[in-house]
Amino acid sequence: MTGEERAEVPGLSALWLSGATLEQTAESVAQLALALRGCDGAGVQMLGAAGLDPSVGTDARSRDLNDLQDAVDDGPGRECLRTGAPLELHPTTPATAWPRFTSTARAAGLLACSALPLRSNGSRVGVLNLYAWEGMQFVGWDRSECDLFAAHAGVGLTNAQSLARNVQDIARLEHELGSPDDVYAEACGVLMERHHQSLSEARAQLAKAASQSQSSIDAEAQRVVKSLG
Amino acid sequence: MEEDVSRSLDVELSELAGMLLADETLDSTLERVASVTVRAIPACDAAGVSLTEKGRVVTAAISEPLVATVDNHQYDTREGPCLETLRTGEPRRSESLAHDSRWPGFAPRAVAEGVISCLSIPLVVGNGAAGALNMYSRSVPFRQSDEDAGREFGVPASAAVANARAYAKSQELVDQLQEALQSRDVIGQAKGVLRARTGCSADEAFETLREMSQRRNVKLRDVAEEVIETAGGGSHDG
Repeated sequence: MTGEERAEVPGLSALWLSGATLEQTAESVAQLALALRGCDGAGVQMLGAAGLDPSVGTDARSRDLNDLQDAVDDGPGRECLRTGAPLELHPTTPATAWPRFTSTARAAGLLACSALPLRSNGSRVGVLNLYAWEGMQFVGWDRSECDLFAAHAGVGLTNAQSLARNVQDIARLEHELGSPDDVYAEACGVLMERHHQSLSEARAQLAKAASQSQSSIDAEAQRVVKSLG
Repeated sequence: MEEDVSRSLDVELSELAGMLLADETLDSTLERVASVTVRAIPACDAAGVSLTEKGRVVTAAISEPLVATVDNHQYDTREGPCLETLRTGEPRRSESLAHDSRWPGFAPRAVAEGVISCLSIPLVVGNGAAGALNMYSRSVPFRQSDEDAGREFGVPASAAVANARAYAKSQELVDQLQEALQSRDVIGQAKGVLRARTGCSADEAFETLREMSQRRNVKLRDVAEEVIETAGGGSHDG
């Protein structure tokens, strides 16, 4: 185990998920990746349902390169997302390798890119794009160091995604619990408490009141609940 | 030797970083933190995680029964490294409990259990809770190097515990809300009863029901049915 490996994994193992959004955790992972040898910028793109699929970068150039890969549907990161295979673009890689991405990216200053699959329990959860810029003395990627980092990053981001999914579920369930269907039941409860009624008596009173006022039972239930102030 | 300690710590940190929250319960995570601690800290023979919430300290996970016994001596005597660490947020170490005058009630009891040295490291757990990683040795004393390794290990251990707690709490809430949705009519009626009785809002009524459910460890639906039973002194006829 190398000294560099030692520097990365503790950072990932200390990721604090509570109170952070999935996007913020992805940004933290990208920032930690900057300590990898040869890495001048990093991006994380995650697979998942809406709201669980952030795309982040450590800087504007990294974010632009992530966006470029998405826009032209080409590039090592894009292909890695599709296939799950780690891919590298080197200074000597022919532009024909990813024809819609490579030339434009090189014109923007990209020297090399390593796209590493983020996995968890064998499933693909996203891609980690490591970028090296021209003029930054690129010395090559240490494959084992990068693989170890990606392996732990995949688990950390999966955990963040699990927590974010629960947060989404909680918001959805709370919304559903507060939907109008709840008002009818609430109105019954109000009448039961106010008039010492049974549930069937409360339901009957709502139906009778709706009939007398020529409104719907739902509207009558709303009226009862609103009367609480 | 120092390099060996460092390598051992790396391996154990990797295990913590490799835990998938969805595959673990809070208890299993805490137990793994305790067992990983024994392997990560050279002098450590036994370890446990103590958590405090709402002023109460409990031993939440242990690597072996000795830990619960010695922790209980701290709780009984109201002194010891764990309680001081929880109070101060700082590590506490005793190289020789037999010659340590800081805890006159606790130390002799720990020595009688065969513990010669101890080390407690704070865990930052968040959300009003605090924790401590308690380590005991029957064989060799905890040195400064063990404390240094413990401090380093405490950071990811804190994250592992905090993340597991956050996930467990969120999962518990999801489960409760799903159950609530299935029982929405009953709960809606109970909310109406509480609102008519106390003048609270719908959200406050729901929160009241949820707190009653959590405090008594009774299902939300059952709590709601109990509230309905008391409506206006009447009975719930379904």
